[in-house]
Amino acid sequence: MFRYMLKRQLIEDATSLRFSIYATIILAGLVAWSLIFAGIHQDRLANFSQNAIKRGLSLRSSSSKLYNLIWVSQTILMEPQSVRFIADGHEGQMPQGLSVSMLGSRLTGSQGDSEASILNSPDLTSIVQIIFSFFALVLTFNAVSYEKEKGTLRLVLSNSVLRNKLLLSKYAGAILTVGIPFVIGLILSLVLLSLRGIPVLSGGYMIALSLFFLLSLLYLSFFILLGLFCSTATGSSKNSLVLCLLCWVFIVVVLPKSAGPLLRLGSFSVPTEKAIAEEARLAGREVWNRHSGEDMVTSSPQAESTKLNVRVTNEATQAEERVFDLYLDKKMRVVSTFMAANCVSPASLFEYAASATAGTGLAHFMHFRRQVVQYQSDLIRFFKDQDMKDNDSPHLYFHPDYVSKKPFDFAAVPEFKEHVPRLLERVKNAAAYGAGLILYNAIMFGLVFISFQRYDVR
Amino acid sequence: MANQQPILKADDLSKRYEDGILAVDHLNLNIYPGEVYCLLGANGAGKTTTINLFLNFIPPTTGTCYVNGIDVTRDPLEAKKYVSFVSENVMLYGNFTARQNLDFFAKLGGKTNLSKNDYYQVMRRVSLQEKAFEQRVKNFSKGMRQKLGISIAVIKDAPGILLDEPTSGLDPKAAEEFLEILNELKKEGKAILMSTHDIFRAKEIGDRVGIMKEGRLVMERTREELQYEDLVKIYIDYMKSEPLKI
Repeated sequence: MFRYMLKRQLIEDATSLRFSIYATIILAGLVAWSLIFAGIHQDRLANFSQNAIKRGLSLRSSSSKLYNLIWVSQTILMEPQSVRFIADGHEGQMPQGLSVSMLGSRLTGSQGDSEASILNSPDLTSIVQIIFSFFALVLTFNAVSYEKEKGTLRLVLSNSVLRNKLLLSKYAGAILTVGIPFVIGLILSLVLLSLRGIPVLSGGYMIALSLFFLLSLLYLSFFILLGLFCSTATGSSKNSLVLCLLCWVFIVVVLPKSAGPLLRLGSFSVPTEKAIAEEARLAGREVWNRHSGEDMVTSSPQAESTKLNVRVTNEATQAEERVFDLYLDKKMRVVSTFMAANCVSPASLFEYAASATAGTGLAHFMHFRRQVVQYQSDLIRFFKDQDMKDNDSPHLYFHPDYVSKKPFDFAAVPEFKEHVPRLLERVKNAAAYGAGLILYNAIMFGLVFISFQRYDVR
Repeated sequence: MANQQPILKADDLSKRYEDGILAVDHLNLNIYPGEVYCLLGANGAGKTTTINLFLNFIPPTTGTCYVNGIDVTRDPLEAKKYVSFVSENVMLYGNFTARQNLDFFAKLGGKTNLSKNDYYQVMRRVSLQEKAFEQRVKNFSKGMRQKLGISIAVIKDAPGILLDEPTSGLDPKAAEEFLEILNELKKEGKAILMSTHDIFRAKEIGDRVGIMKEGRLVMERTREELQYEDLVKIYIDYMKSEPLKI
């Protein structure tokens, strides 16, 4: 019985005008986005490669003397990932990378607004989030009410048909109607991206895309259920359409933007880079001021005053770096708080889940930062190892006058290589958001089924 | 008929809506195989509510509906296996052809092994034009849709048939054809409950005719009794009489 109803539903949906519009927009949208992304990604890769070359040259220029390494500040950019086609994670609005030296690491590149707008990051996620969700509602807003208005609902239910099965067939029909053109569009996108030289046919990419597809279905399922609920909860198709549109605007547009102001995120505001730099300078000066009366004249490396000078220099540098680190942590916390507050909206849950699964966005940046900090430790260890080899060096780190001044093997300097988070880690990051979407679906399922059980079919 | 089990039975059936209106008031009905029972009454008399109660679209306030001896409220899915329904304005899936609609509803009615020829045969039987068999239903006239509606009931081959003002709005020829089909179904032993405003056709086709007023069955006559009485006069007299005290 179920399959007959499902088949009928599918035929009806597939022959409708709205489906033709939906399928055309999906295919055209995905093709257009694939071509646009291919161009953007190639530019990003070129920029990244240029930066890597510059970084190599800067390191090479310091290879004449070991102590020069102390002053080399490398600008390390996050590697452009092709998964940003799927979920950008607002990376365009986030720090593009970090400047790292042995003395510390700082943000570099443009830093976006922590209250990221959903419309500012074009990616597959935002296409599904905004356009597909709208169509999911358009496909289902009158699934039940129109049948009642036509009279076919009475005729169907005059047979031995369970209401739940009828509803389930409508739900499954809508999922397939939404899902099939989406799969075709995705395959088309992969072909286009591949033809443009973007490595998307790897196993890892396919898994990321499959997970994204499942998350998309979960997200669209919520809107399909919402459409069915409006269709059963209102008296007519017109009322259902109005209710659906209001719900869509609230869930997709209003709710993801209202959590921030509601939480008064202004009180979490992070100062500008200039203000942070000034605060760091003051923190360093404060260290020097604390030792202002002490003898810190640098004479011989063995002199206590020299050792104190080096110690205070390092202390002041660390104090400055701590200020930068604190603000970076605070910025990350603001974004995390904002994201947590936004989880009231299924649209935000989907966006965060997609971004976490793809390994982009905040999770990507945090992973990158951890790697940069590790790289900094590797550099320091390398520096110390090299310095220890020089018996003439007084080993007073990191004063340029009291470390080895001998040339060293440039090829031995550790290089930064970004590693993408492992799949398991990405899935773990996305689990909470995915669970939120499942919960929303479960609630909506319950509401729809109760509503349809009580539905007056006359 | 007394020793036969009624296919359609209303036992002390009442329905009071949430707004307080008593739509059906202690109705007792027994419709036997091979019998056509016509329910007459003004709008709001409770005819459609009675049919809705038989189809379990609404629960009764008191009393019970039985289809083939099965309590409709207790086991609606089982009960609906034994009853077909044709509404006043049969609306089908417009993008489907007549045959596709028939196929879908036949399958819902449990007939899963029918061939294209079986569907054609049924449509021929209800006098639907051959050229309409594979045409989309959205362009069908009301008469064609009613014929397709009755063909759905025919193909289900249930022992009970519920008809809610099926000839309303049909031209005389189409209505006559419709009644011919009903006569055939009656001869096949179907128990038919038909609500209608059409007194003349009720007299023509009905083995028994009942008049409902304000939810009550106020009069019932057999075909034999009506040979000596004027149904129109009886109907008008009942409609003119004082409102019932409910």
